[in-house]
Amino acid sequence: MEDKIKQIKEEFKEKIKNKSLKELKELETYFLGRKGKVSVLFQLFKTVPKERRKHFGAKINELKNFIEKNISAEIKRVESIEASRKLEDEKIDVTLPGIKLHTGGLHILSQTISHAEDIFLSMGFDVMVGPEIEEDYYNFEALNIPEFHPARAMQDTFYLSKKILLRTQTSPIQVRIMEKYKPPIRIIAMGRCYRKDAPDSSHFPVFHQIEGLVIDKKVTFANLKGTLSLFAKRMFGEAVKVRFTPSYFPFVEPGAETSISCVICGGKGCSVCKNTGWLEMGGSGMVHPNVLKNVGIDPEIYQGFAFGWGIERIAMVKHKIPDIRMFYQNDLRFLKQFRG
Amino acid sequence: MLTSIKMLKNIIQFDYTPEELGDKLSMMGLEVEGITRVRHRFNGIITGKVEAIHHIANTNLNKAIINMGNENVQIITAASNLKIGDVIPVALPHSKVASGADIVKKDFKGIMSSGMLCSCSELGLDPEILSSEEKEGILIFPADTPIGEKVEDILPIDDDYLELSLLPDRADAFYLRGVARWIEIVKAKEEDRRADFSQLEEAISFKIEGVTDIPIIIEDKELCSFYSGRFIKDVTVTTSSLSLRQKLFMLRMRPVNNIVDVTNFVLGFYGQPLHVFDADIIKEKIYIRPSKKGEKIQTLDEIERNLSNANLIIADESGPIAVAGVIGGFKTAVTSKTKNVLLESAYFSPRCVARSARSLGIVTDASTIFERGADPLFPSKASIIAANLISKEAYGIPAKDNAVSYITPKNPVNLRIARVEKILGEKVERKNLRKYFSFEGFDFVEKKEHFIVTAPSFRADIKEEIDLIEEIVRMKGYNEFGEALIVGELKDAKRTEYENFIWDLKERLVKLGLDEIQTVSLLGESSFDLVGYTDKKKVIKLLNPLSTDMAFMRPLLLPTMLSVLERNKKSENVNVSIFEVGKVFCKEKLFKETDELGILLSGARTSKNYLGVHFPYSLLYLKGLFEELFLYYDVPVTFEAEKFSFMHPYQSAGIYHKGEKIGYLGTISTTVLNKLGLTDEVFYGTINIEKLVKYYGVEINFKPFSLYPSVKRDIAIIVDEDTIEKDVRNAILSAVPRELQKITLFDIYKGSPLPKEKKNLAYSLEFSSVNKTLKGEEINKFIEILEKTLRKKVKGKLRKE
Ligand SMILES: [Zn+2]
Repeated sequence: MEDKIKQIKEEFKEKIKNKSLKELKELETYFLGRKGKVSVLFQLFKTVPKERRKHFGAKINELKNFIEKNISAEIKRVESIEASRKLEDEKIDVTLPGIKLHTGGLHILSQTISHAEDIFLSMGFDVMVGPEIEEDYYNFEALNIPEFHPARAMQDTFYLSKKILLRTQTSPIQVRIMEKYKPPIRIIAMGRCYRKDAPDSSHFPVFHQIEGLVIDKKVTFANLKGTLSLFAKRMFGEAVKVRFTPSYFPFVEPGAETSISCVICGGKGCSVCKNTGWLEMGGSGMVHPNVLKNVGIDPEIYQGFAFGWGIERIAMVKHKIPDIRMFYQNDLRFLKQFRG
Repeated sequence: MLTSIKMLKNIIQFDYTPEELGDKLSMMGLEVEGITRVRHRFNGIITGKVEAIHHIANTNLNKAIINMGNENVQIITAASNLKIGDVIPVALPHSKVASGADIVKKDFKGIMSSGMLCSCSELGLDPEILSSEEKEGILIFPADTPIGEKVEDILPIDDDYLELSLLPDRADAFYLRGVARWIEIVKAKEEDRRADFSQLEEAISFKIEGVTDIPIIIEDKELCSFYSGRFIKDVTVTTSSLSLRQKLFMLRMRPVNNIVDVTNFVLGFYGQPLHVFDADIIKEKIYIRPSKKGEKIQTLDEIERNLSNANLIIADESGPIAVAGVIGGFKTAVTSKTKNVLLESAYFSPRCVARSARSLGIVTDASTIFERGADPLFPSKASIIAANLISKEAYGIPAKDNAVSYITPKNPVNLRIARVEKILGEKVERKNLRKYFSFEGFDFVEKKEHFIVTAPSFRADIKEEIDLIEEIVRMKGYNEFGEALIVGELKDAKRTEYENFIWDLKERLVKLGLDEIQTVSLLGESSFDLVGYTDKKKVIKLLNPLSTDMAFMRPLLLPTMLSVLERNKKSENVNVSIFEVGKVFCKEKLFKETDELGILLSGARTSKNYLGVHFPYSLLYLKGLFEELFLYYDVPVTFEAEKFSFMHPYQSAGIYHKGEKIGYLGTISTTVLNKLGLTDEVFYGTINIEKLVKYYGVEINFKPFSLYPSVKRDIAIIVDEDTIEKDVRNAILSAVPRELQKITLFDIYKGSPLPKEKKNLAYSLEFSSVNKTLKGEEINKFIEILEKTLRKKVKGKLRKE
């Protein structure tokens, strides 16, 4: 009997080695099942003399416990190995590229317009719009550019009829606003303009402008400078300086061409700013008294300033875009660069 | 315009580099766009005189004997414009022509040639400023040109030119003496003194003989306030002197003949447009009058032009002989046969010349100056200058001129001192005002509260108080003024409601995975052909298009969106999902612009990937986008099958809102795609977004939702194959009560075991109630009613599992 117990223990020790989970379960039945080796020992137990029974009983129980303990430990061990092996089988190469779902974006011109609008909204400007098909009166006449004025010849205009044209600037909105609202007026207006310019890297027959107009009793040239300076800083960065050079626009006087210090070279001079250190952004000036008179505002009481900058120009400078035509070609490789 | 610095330095002294000068003028308001540097590129070319010419038999060559001053050389040339006595540029061996080629002795079949005779191209001269004769043959210098001189010393080639931009309000930037005056102002400001323009004037004394007795009649003194005619008799029309031609060269003007050259010089240098008539052709009297309808003139460019009352003309008894201030007539032009001339020097009103030039569609140097306001006091002086030059250049004898003048003194302009601070936001001291006006050479009288200022006669731009305020800013310096933020009442700043809607819409579309594009709102005939657009009566055509492909205002967004697609497919951007919010235009009673949205899809939502997950765009995907948008704004719409010229006839629909058509969508027809060379399917839809705006910004009120579990029931309905889904859905909606929360079509099936011409539509219905848990029997009751309704309305049968 003693030998038998010893023999089973040895057998178990031998068999438990290198078993799979499934084999371990079978082994468990083989030893501990109802007809298993240990159960058979209990049956043999009946044949053992009574005085030895206690001794053997303890031995068999000891064997049973030994097997139980070891097999369950082994099962746990193998289980955990197999579980981790399964996870390993499910391994994903995390360096694989993710699956891309196409997402949309705003055109860079819209982004620029939105940005500019937000800056001016924060300065208390209302945002207005006006028609693209405009009357000669609003685009020229009311802006102190009478018929045959040399400034007209310089702005090549698309005409739809004798007195109807495609606006060459957003300035006619100034007149429409002043006709409709009484001062104080503080507005900007954005929109598409048209000029008969042959397309090249800096000209395109369609383009956008941002127009500003402020009319009140004490709006001065200093306010014009302050406003555009602040706008430029917010749009292009704190380091940017604004420069005013005398220039002629019939509807403003004093009139100025406004430039910002070159954002590419910081004003030292480069090919983009043609070594001047300055980039022209658009016109500005004090609203001409004739324009105010044309809309029935008394220039002795009210005065103000106006400016018109190119949106494409702003975007080209801000994002270093080399060619205005790219805005209208809409190549996705272009559009997608400006995550809007 | 190019202005010679060499020539400027001849009349005004300054030490600035061209760049410094450019900056100073720009900051003063005369924009210098750049500096053009011209340097001669030849070397060792000198003048020689033709002594003899011998034709070489059986060739097209000549053997010329050239006197070089210290020796005679023999040169073989193919030129045909040579004659004995001509002074010409000669490139001897060891010299270099402008192209960089070295000149060597050459052997022409046994005849040696010691160099070459040069045309303008060997000298690298700008063909723009040469006469046609000079462009072709050997350059011939005037007979009085010295021999043995370096050509670079004779032709003022080496020079720097200011590239000046044309000012719309000032003529004085267009001529050399005008630019010199700007420089004088720069200097006066730097030296803190009054500008002195008198140094730019020159005293002229010359001999006159007789009077100009032709009557001059000005009909409208508003259009012409001064006209001087001067006879100059016995002129010899020929090539100008070297010195005059050198001046024209520096003014970048082309020599023609001595008479024309003088008038061009006076224009380019002094800013006074002149005209010279052949006096023997003029009939009796000179009239300055508006033209009458039906009158014609053949102008100097030999084009016959119809005149109208928009043109002020110079006429004689026979009719128009010149268009005042614009262009002369051909009939009375000076030719080599001309003996006696009439020199015109006049002042024409800016508006009159502008209108006249515009009506003829021509721009000349004269019209450019008159339009911007010439100096009304100068014509008299200009006539003397020109007559003097003509007497020297063409040996003519000038008479006393006949001048008719209606010139009135220029009105002084008042400047209120308080006004300066009010406009500029900064006080400018009285003593500084005095200074600034002096820098500009203005005369002024100082009063207690204002200045009375008179600007020189050439400053046509100084008309009112604000003009003087601008002068103050220019003189102080635009960047010398401080900056200040606007002061005013605090108010709420906002976009218009419509603009808010547009931004909201764009953002929504971006969230739906679309890229915004912006296309040109002009298109050409070919775009209409492409999409088979026939409603052309309504299309707006530009009167003066830039090109045929941009001749119309777009009546729909599709064509330009398709070209964006085409471009992207060519650049291998295969997945395109784009939208544009833009204006379309049409002609109704007036010109009308409408905001539309266009969406165009082609390819798939996902790129090709290793998982094989693919999400191709389809018509119903596009419809889903529109539905999402309508749902977002809570706009009720219906889609009705409809055909369009550029769509697949069975894959397109009109979009209706309360019975009104607001848009359409569909699959672009293969006919259109083939024309563009596109192979992938393309889906396009468009709506008039102005119809949506009233739904924007509507407050959203909370609606209660059920807190009880919902009951799901799947049903399968067999209907005829051509029954449209909308009818089945409507039947379901009409049969079941509001407890039906959600209805989802999840399967469409045709084929066995269904009978032919039948299809099976499978829906998942979700029921729930706000106040209780629905019981199975209640749902069964709904289904029973549903069964009956389906049978009645769409001849449908519920399929039993
Ligand atoms: Zn730069």
